[in-house]
Formats: sequence, structure tokens, C-alpha cells
Amino acid sequence: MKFMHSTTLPLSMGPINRLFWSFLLLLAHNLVGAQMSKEAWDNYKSSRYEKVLDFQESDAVIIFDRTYYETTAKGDKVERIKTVHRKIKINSLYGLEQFNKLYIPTLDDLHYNIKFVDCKAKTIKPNNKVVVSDTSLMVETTLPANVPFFYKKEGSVKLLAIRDITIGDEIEYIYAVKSSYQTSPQHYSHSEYVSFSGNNDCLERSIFFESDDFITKIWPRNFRSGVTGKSSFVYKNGQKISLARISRNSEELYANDIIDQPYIVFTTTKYIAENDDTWKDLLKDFGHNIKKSKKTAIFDGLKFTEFQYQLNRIKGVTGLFDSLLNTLNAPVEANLHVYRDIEDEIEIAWYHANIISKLMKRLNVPLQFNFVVDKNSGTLDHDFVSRYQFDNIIISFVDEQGQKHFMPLLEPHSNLDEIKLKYQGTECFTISQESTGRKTFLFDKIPDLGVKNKISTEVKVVLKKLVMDSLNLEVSNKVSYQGDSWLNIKPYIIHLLNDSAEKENSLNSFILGQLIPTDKIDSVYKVEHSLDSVSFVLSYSYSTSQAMPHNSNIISFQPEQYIISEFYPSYGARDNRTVSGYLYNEPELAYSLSFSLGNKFNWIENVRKKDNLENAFGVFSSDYSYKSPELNLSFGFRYKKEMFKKTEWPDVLDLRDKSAGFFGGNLYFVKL
Amino acid sequence: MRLLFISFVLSPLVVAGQIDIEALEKKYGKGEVTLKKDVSISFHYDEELQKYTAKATFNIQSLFLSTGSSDGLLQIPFNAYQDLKLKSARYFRIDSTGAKKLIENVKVKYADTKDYFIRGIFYHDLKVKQFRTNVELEENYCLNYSYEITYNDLKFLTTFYLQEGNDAVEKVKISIKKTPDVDISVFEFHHGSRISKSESEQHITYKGESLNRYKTSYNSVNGSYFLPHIIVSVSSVTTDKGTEEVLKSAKNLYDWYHMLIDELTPSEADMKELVSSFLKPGLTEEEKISAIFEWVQQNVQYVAFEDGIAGFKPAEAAEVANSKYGDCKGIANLLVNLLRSQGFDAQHAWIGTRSKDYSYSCPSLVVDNHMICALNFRNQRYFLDGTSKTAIWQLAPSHLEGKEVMVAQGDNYIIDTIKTSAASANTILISGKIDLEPEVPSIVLKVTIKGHFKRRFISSITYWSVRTVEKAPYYFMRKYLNGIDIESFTEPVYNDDGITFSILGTYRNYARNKTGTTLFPLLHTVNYKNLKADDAPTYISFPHQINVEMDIQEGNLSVPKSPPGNRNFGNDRYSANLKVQQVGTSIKLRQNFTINALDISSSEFEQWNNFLDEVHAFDNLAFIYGANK
Repeated sequence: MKFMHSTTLPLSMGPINRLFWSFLLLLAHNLVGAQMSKEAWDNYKSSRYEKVLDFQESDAVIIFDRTYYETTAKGDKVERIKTVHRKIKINSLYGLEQFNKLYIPTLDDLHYNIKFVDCKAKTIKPNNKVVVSDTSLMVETTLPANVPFFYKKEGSVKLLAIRDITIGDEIEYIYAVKSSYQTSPQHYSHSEYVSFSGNNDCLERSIFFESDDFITKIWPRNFRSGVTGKSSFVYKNGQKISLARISRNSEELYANDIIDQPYIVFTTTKYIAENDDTWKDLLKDFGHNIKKSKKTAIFDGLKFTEFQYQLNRIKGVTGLFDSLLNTLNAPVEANLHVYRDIEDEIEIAWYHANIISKLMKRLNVPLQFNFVVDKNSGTLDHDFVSRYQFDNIIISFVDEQGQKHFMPLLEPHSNLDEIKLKYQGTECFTISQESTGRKTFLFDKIPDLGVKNKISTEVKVVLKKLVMDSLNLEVSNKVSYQGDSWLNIKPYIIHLLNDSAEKENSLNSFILGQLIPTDKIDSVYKVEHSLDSVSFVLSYSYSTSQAMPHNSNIISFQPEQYIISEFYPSYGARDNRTVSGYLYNEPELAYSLSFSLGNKFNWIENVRKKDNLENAFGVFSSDYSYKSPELNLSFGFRYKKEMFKKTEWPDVLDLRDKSAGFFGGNLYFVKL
Repeated sequence: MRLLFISFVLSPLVVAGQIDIEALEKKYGKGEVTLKKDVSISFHYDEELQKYTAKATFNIQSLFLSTGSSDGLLQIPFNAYQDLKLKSARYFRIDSTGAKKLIENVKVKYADTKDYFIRGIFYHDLKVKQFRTNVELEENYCLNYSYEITYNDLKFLTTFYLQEGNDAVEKVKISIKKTPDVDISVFEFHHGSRISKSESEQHITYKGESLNRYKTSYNSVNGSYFLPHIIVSVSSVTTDKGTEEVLKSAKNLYDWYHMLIDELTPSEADMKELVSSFLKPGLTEEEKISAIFEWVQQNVQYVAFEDGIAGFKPAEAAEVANSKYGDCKGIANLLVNLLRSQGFDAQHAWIGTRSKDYSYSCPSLVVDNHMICALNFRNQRYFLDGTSKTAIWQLAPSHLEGKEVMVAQGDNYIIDTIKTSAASANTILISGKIDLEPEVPSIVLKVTIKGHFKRRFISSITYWSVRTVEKAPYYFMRKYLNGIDIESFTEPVYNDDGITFSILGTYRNYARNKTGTTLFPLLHTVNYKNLKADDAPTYISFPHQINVEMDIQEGNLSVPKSPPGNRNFGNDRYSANLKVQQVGTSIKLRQNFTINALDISSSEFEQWNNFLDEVHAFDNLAFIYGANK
């Protein structure tokens, strides 16, 4: 639902009257215009200690967290005043130490700056005694060079230590900062993702928008209150979106706050097309802004017409898309360091798709543009009509044999039909383009391509010589990545394999950094690899040793010394589960671990290493065979579902516990 | 002669500007290698300031071998009492012949000056000058840079390291130019045979070559314990006005501290009024001290805003009482004044915590990094650290134990030493039972913790998140409970003597097959690792003891064959013993580990390793039970 606000003066008025009305309107504008954040400053003045009964187990409870955005066109620039008003109940020293200092970031850049406007802060005691912090004591510092919580290192920060806080007190502060954008109001567009959840439980989170010059569209997600993009957010002379009782982000295993926690995306801009509330409008918008690109460079400097000519010479639609894919990928492959920045960046995908649309129209090739949502970000929201809800665009086409193929975008070193699991089986918004260029849309589904996601590992440990107080070992390892596991590392692996000068060093670094569980090993040998379209196999060996004091006759090993295991038996994970878990990314695991004991040792057989469990969520099995001097152990694990509810956690935990027992349980060898 | 000199100074690994990366990596491993570091320290009379100042110039050539840094960020720390001028910085790549090829000449005038945080605390006077490249660096690259630090106040001339924490050093030289009017003392630390010294009429020079990188870990001591460095302390300065002592002895240090304290204007009436607001009538003297200390701990938060002289001068007691936050000096000063208002003999006291390995025999500002309150009470001196929320006034925190402390006594001072606690005062006692009857053996443990372990536990539950506090016994004990899958534990019970809780779980250090069960029942209570020559010395938080008393119930299994007897290992600094006793069909195990040392220095690595080997030989002590009785 769009919110628009405008004022016009009656033309029939005389000049004095007009002046008078202008004055009145200006006055009214100033009064009304300041109303919402003024409300915050007034609320601050009159606030009292609040009894907070909810979230007693929280270190700090955010009683409210209100942000007010007032955006104004000022000649050739745009100003935005952001007012933040927060009240926090402190329940523990840990909570106190999070909130006893107030940080207000400021920035002075050529085209954009954030300036401090005002701030007030106080502590309210349970008896309603108020201790005011003197904001003139604020210290200005650079964003520190070594503190990770500042994601950027530019700009400054205003820092205030809040006075007189003890556990049980409430801290309240309000501050305003002014951002100036050196951009014409006509071209101003500001989009922002704002999470409504954080590290602490919150009783109320509200965001207010106010502007006479701009329009803001709000898309809420995961609002259990029933608020959707179609809700009315009208509040006084602006808009407000609010949610009560928001639990803190979960630290639980397999939790996904993006899927479960509320957030909004908002866009403030001078113009939002009249009828952009339907998918038809998004369809219209597709290809709309690309007209100028015909004569300009596309895809890393390639001319549009030049590329069209190249493609035109290719016979067969599959070959054409193959060439297109390689052309698109080339610049990313040459600059792989940008991959993480552009991966799943819808604006770049949108730009590419628009050009492809134009090209294919000229080549008379029909195709589809499938706007997809990553399973880890949620599902397609039919109410949220915006390209910003999507993570990527996958192109599909039908070959001469009538077979449908998929082409990924922005995936370096990818091939046709290599679609990541995170998109398989998901609903998508599809723009279908005929050979004439005519476009229609529908909601479709990316098929489940049935690609495995599996990691197999074979480890051979040969017990060599006993020297002084340690036993020398030779370890050979062969790791195989299949399906999605391979696709996830493929850009990096191929990138390093293509660099012939550094290939050996890079592979070794990958093995040492990613595959060997201990940092004690600093070199590997016999490094070999093979790869095909669906898998990558890497084998390597290394020498190591295990402490074995001379006066001991038993040595023990744990499988997790040789195979990285994430099945730790955390006591913390045994708590009552509070959120669902998501297993989309979990690969099937198949491990084998063998020990060659020679004539030096004997394994103390342990029947506990033979185990299995299958339940609704997965399958675990472990087994062994022992015929001196060879001990062979195997481990298999696979989740059967992509998610579980919180009540189903014990089943998942059972599977993990069994696995943790295999990896963490000792294997004992006795000296002969 | 000249040729001979050149061939002497050039290392074979860096010949005529060429760098043998392979050889250097073989010699030092990956990481930063300081190829050449020249530091020159000199003194100058500043006509404008009418006093002597000091200048240190640094010329450094560093090689970065596979450090993983792609932007070559370099940060040079300095503080508000120093003026740092970056003179040049150039990044080089190294071609296949080992030659350096310039890739960027950094515009050093645009280098950022940034504030720096230590443990999340903002010190306004601690800054870094930092720069980085604009191009992506290769895996190995070189950086040549130079800078100059001016010390306008000679008190702040302190430490110069010949080797930094994570560096290997190919060649280093620190040279101090003597000035007749400036009398200096140079204190040498950990030079050993690796650092040579020469002295002439004009210079004192220290040189080092081929200094291998130390490996540090989370339980390593601070670099002041093992890295070669010097402290330059200016004893006195002679000018037209005469000779003035700067830091000739600890007395000068104290005089300056005392002058800063003297500038404070405490109000006894305000302090009395404040104390009367929370002190109940009828308390004993001991209870009054407890109440004042606890009020400060509970009401005053540790927030440091140290800027300029505030890095050394405490905030006024009333100011801290009013704002309810302060740094260590502000909190110590408040404690002193609150206690004095009730007639107690409380004094300001300066100390270097155990993170620094210095004593007052070296008169330098670097010796101290903390301020506490010394309380003379009933012929004893107590040390109260108000920055700790959980300390008790009768027991100084462990990070101060064994350290010299400078206690104010008006115009004079006393150097005292904070007593080191006995290992027997800081104990964890784990007593329990392993039952072999179930298919997976069960284990029940009762844990009692005392002394500094108790303080540490209380500190954890005070500072941790509420959600983690519930699991404090688990997090506190897990490193000793190898092979135990914890299922539950009881609520901790607090009493004057200690904290007690129970743990229930299953035990998985066994192997079971058709011939019987082999049990490995020893808890791995000695969690220290063997130390190699290039490891940094190990920091021991406090002397302590860990005792285990375990009964093994055999269930329906037949009794083990020949269980071992008693064993003792170690020496006065660290020892362990094991006692095994068979009582009927059950076995009783007694494990003890005692450590009296506060650190394990490199000179005793071999002895320490032998001790650990002997102890760890018993980690897999096996008791073999038959299948059935």
C-alpha cells in the first residue's frame, strides 16, 4: 500500500493571501513535519520506570527501540534525520556492560556524511529517581582500529559513558544524526534492510517514516502479528511499522534468524511508479531501463552489438547459452575476489538479466528468467512485489530436443544445469520471454535436479616407528566432493588450479587450512586431484606423530584427529529447543578410517564402534572390521529432511550424539 | 677493509638486495620476518621548550611470508605523550630471482591515525598510525618503512624491543646516542647470548641476528617475560638551570605519582555522607570494610576514558561516586577516600599486574599498569582492587600475586610484595564413582572448588550472560572431564569454604568386547602441553591443586588383573601422584596434581616436559575386567 502526501495552494488566491497561506502552511509543515520525532523527544522527557515482567531470563530487555526517519529535499541534496529512542532494562552485569556506553557513529565523506545533531541519556532507578548523563562529556573518537563490531573502519564515533547504572535500572537515551546525500532529490533512492530482532529480547520495535518530499515503501517479513506488505502503515502524517515482543536471535545449532526473525526492507525515493504494486508492474519494469545499453559496453567492456554478432554465429541454442555463460563468467573468474560481493546480489543479476533479455530478443531466442529466493533466506512472498526479495535470477531455456536447461548467473566456473541446492525445489517468479521478445509472467518452481550433496573421505593411518616418546604416523587421505559440496568450493578450487605458478602452494594451503583438523601439520605431500562436472577428488599425505611416553604401553587415537567433525557433544545444545532448525546445506557424509598397526600394536576391540540409528530425520551408521594388523572403521551420516521443528530436536540430537560418540570416542592400541 | 665489512654485515639469505624466500621460510617458517631493523635513540635540547627531548628513529624492512594479509595493513602504536611522524613506506613484491620490485610508494601523509581499544576498553591516549596498500598483494611481499617518535617528556621514554611477539628477526640494531647532559640507565631484559652489546664514548649499541620466532598461545606469558628488549630510563638531565632528576630511582616515580594525587581535592564530608547512605549502623570494622568494598564493586562500573594526564592521574573521588563509573585509578581513589572517611588507613597503591615482568629496581613508567587501594588494618596490609566485581578484600586477586606494589605514605612510599597464595589454598576436588554395570558405564562426581578457583567461578557467574551462567559448572569443569558425556549437574552450593556441585553423566573411556572391558579411568587433570624451544613460556594463573578420588564399581564384571601401585612424579614446583587401592572388588583411585610455579620459563622446559611425559604416560592407565564374575 503506497503512502503519498502532497499539498497544493488554491490558485485563485491573491498574492497577500497566498503569502499568508504559504506562511501558515510552512508553519503547519514545520509543526507537523517535526511531529513524529518530536513525539519521541517528548516521550523521553516524561518517561518513568517501567515494570518489565517479560523476558526475565534476558541480560537486558529492550523495552522499546524506536527509529524515526525524516527525509527532506534540500535544493540539490537530500537530508535525512534519523532519531533513535531506546529504553533498556538491565538484568545482569553482562547486559549492563553491553549498554553502559552509547556509541553514535558519524561520518564525513565527499558525497555522504552523517553529523551528530543532539543526544540525551539518563538512567531511571526502580524508585523513579532519574540520573541524567551529561552529554557534553561525549568523547569523539575514530572508529577503533581493532574492534570487530564496527563493520567499517571509516568515520568517527561519539562515545558517552552512561552514569550510575546498576542491575535493575533502566537506561534511556535518544539521539539524532543528520545524513546528507549530495544527490539530486529526483535521483535519490534509499533502500535498507532493518532487522527487528537482535541480541536481546525486545518488547517493542518501531520504525517511523516522515517526509513531504519522498515516498517510502515498506515490506515486512516474518511478522507474526499478521502485518504484511499490504498492510496500512499510515501513522499521523507519515508511516509507522511496529512489532511487539520480539525474541532475541537464536544461538541454537541450525537456527536461521533470516527465516524466522522479523525484518523489513524499505525504500525511500522521490518516485515509485504509479502502479508498482503488482507482479505485472515488475514485469513491465524488467527491460525498462536497458534501452541505452545497445551502444554502450556490457559485460566487462564488450559492446552490445559485437556480442550479439558473436552469439549469432553460434549454432544451436545450447551452444549459444554455453557461450553466454562463459562470457558472463569470465570477468568474475578473472577477479574472483569480487565473487563474495556479487554472489546473490540481485541488482547485478537484474542488470545482467536485462541485457540478456535484450540480446535474446534480437536473436529471437525464447527463454525464461526465474527470480529465485535462497532456501536459507526464506520463501517467495507473493505480497512483496519487489526484485529486492530475490537473491538471484536463474535463466532457463528449452533445447532443440525439447529438454529444459538452466543457466546460473554470477557463478564463476559454472556450467549449464549446475544449480545449487539452495535454489532447487523452490518457488520462483518467472518472466517468460518469447522469441519475439513478448514477456509474460507466472509463478513456477525450480525443479529438484536430484544432484547429490556428499562428502566422502578415506583416511589411512600407518603406525610407523616409535621414536623416544612419540609414535610416527603416516596419514593418507582422499576426499571427494560431490554435487552441491563441490559447487560450493568449485570457483575457488578451479581458480587456484588455473594459476599454474601457485597451484601447488594454493592446494597445499587449502588442505592444511580446510581439511586437516590440527594446526600441528605444516606440510603435505603426494597431493593429487581429479575433477569432472559433478565431483572433485583430492588426495594427499602427511607425516605426523602422536605422543606416547616411553613408559606407557597403550596409545589412543580419536577419529576426529584425522577427519573434521562438527558433531561435538555440546551440553549447551541439550537445552530445550526454542526455534526450528534448517538442514538445507548439510551434506551426506561417508567416511572410512583404517589403521595399519604392523607388528607393533594390537587394537583393543570395542564393540561400541559398531552402531546405527535411523529415525525420521536421518540415518547414522558406524562399523568396523579388524584383522590384525588392519583395522577398518566406517561412518555414514545423512539427514533425511531439510528442516525440523523445535519439538523434533531430540531426534536430531540422538543422531548427533551417536556421531559424536564415534568421532570423539577413543581407539586404544596396546603395544605388543 | 670496507669489502670485508660489507661481507660481514650481509646475511647470506639477503644478498645484494635479493631475498632467498625459500631459505628464509625454511629458517623461520611462515609469518613476518624483520629483515633489518635499525632504531636510533638520541637526545636533543629544544630551545623553544627549554628542555631536553628524545627522538627515536625506526628504519624497518619486513618480509611477510604467507601471512594471509592482502592489503598489507600496518599499524604503529603510539600514545598521547609521543609525536609520531611516519617518514616513508614502500611495498615490494619479490620476483622469481628474489629481487624486490616496487609496487607502491605509500603516500604516508595520508596515513590514518586511529584510536585503539584494549579488551574493548577505550583509551583515548592510545593510538595507531596505520596504512595499507591500494593494490592486492601477493602471498609474499616486503615492506620497508621508517618513522620517528619524539618524546617531549623524557619520563615517557620507556621500552624498545629487539624482537616483537610474532616476528622472526634476521638483523636488528638499537643504538642510543649518549649526551653528556642526559644521564640514562639502560635495563636489559632477556638478551642471553643472542644479543650483543657494545659501548663507546658516543653510543651504546645492541645487536641481534637470526632471532627465531616464538610461538605463543592463549596461556603464554606476556612478551616482557621472554622477548629481548631494553628499557631506557632517563636518570637526570643537566641544563643551565642545574641538574634535575627525572627517573633516577623509584623515588622519582613516586614523587610524580604523589604530585598527581596531591592535586586532587577530596571532600571528606561528601565521602562520609555517601558512606552513611549505605552503611548500616552497628557493624564491626571488618564488616564496614566489606560493605564499602562491596558498594564500590556493585555500584561503580569499570569504564576507562584515559586521555592525556588522565592516563596517570585519578579522577576525583566525588566525580567517580557521582558518575558511578571510572578507570582503575578513579575506582582506587574512591575506595581510598571512602575508607579514610571512616577512619581507616587507606592508601593509593601502584602496581604492575602479572602481565608485566618488571620490578621497581627499574624506575620506569612501564613498571606500573594498575592502581589499587592498600589498606593498613590490624597490623596487616590488604590490597583492594575495586575493578573486580568478585574480589574479597582479604584476598588480593590472582593477577597481582607475587608482584611488587608501591604504597603511598605521604611524601614517602613503601615497596611491598603481594603474597603468593599456597597451592593448597586453591583446589578442585573431584570425588566420584564410575559404575561399570550399565551397558554404557555411568559416572557421578561431586566437585568442590576453593580459593582462587572459587573466585574465578564466582567471577564467571557474575560477568557471564544469564543464559551461560546456568551452565557455569559445565563450562568450568569440562576441560578436566575427558571422556565424560555430561547429562546433568546440580545447582552449585556456596559456603565460606568453597563451592560444591555434582555432575552426572556417562563414561566413554573404555573398550568392551566379548573377552571383557578395558577401562581407562584416569581424569586428565594435567592439561598442559609439552613445550618446544621456540614456545613462549607458560603463564600459570595461580598455584593450585587438583585432586581426584574415584571409586570404580565393577558391577557384574570380574575384578581387574594386576592393577598398578602408587606413583609420584615431579619436584617442588610441580608434582603429581597416583594411588591405586583395591578394596574388595572395587578399586579406589587417588590422583593429585600440584603446581606451585607461577610460570614455566624456557630454562626449565626440559624438566617440565619430562614431568608431563611421566604424568601423561598414565593417562591411558588400563584396568582390564573379565567378561563376567
